[in-house]
Amino acid sequence: MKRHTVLPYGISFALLLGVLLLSIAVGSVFISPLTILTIFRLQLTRQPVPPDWQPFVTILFALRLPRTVLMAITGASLAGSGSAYQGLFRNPLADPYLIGVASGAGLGAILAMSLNWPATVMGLAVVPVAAFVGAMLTVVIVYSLARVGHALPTTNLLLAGVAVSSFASAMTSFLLINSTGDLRRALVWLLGGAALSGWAPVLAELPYATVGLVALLAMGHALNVMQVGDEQAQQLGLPVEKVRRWIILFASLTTAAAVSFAGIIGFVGLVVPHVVRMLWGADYKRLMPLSIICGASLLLGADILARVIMPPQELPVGIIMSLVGAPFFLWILRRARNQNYW
Amino acid sequence: MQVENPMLRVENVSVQYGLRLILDQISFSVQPGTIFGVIGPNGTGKTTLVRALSGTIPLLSGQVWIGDEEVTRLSPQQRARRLAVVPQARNLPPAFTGYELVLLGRTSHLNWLGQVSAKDEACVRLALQRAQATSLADRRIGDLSGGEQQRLLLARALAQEAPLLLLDEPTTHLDLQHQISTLEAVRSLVKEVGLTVLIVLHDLNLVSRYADRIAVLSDKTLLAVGTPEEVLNAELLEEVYHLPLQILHQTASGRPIILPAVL
Repeated sequence: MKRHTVLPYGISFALLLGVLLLSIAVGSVFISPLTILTIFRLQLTRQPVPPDWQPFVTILFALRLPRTVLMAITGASLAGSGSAYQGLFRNPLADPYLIGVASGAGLGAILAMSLNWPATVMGLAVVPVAAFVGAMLTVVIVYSLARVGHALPTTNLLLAGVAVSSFASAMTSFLLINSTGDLRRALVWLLGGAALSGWAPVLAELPYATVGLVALLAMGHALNVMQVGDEQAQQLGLPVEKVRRWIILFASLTTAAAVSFAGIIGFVGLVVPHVVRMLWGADYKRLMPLSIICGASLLLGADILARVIMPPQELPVGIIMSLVGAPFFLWILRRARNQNYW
Repeated sequence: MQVENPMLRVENVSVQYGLRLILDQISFSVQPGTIFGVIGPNGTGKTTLVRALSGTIPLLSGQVWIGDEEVTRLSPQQRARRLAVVPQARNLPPAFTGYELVLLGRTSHLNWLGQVSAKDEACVRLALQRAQATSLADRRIGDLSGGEQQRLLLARALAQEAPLLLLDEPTTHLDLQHQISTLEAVRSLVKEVGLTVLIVLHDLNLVSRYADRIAVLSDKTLLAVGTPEEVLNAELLEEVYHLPLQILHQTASGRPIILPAVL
């Protein structure tokens, strides 16, 4: 009577593990996974590493590992918020990038960077908070622009998303041109998280992403109930308005976490929940965790590609995601017409 | 008829959409363990009545009581435990399985994490069985017929374990066989489980056969409330439906049969 539950998690975790290892292994210097595992084992058991492996240790712990973890958190956040937005709007094309939330978060982040706001206020990192405010404002604006009564037609959602997203991008460019602050930091950020290095961004992103993702994971059943529409959801006992506000809050927080530290990366939030839904069904109690795991895998995969396609140059991971994601988006747009599996 | 405290009591309920009055001073009550039918032409506010009773739209005036509790004072969760709605099958999420859809009926019983206990699962299985929908549990909603979806919606309402069931034209999508089997299932639920049912129906003969009492809605107001024998008379119905009618009384069930007396 219930779908197979263990297999999807097994497959997703195995995939994630494989991509994680590969992501640590691949780069200007290839370090074999076996060497990596040996170094990990030696470090964990506090045994000395052979001297000719010392450079590997530095590369692993100072460069590859933080970047890999950052990409994994970012991918997980984008896919998690993507499935939350899709469930919230009951629309297969809702994605933090397409509905403009990512651009809104980007505008908030650039605002903080280009105006030389202090890095922290009362212990809170300012950039992610500004990104969060930008994301929340955008989602509220897009939602109120696109809504017709209780319905949210796909075309309206996309049009409102495009308009608000363009506006936010234009504002971002304007701010960059007139920037009095550290322009290089902002530009580097716009190209994607690639250039950020070290553990600082990881540690800064982690709390926001964790809070957002854990909250979204707890909303699986609520998201399921939302799928039958507001009226029936209410009759089934869900406090719809309250739940909707919480989902917007946490999905926006999660998006903001991703955007603040990795720039604007599209389509992860669109592609991943779709593939998971097609493979393993629409139950959000399973869709959400599986999307989060697979989102990490997808962005790591794209990041590996970004590093190996034109060595020694590294492409921004956002470009790779758009190259993969845009055709996928068109395909979904065609499929969505008959609402076959949504 | 034995006088008990009514399960559902509707007092002077009026509902307005924008500037348009949809229901005007409706009052009636439904005794526990009975089937209460609501009939009336299209656009007389039958679906609005279901919405008003389930607390999903604001009332302009009046009150709805379930037992001794007033509906608008209850939280959505409390309401869902006392009253379950079987809506018309439309726009259901096609990728859900039958089981997943029926499980939504447990919403008001789950904790905030939405954890499903063995009791919830047992309850869903029983509801599927009572609605004759067990075979639909693993099927995708998008692959099911309107009638099959309707049975799952009945199961979902039963999974709520509410004493009061509101059905909004549950037989619209069904063929004759499934109309009868659905209503037989509802009747046996009333007899065996002791549910109280309010059912909106278009088919006068079905309502005549299954309802203990009937309310006739016409042009925003309640025209009559009574037993099938009292309400289903040619004079009243011709006034409501603007159509010459013939009523047959010599039937096995003792309930009247209504035929359009067309030329």
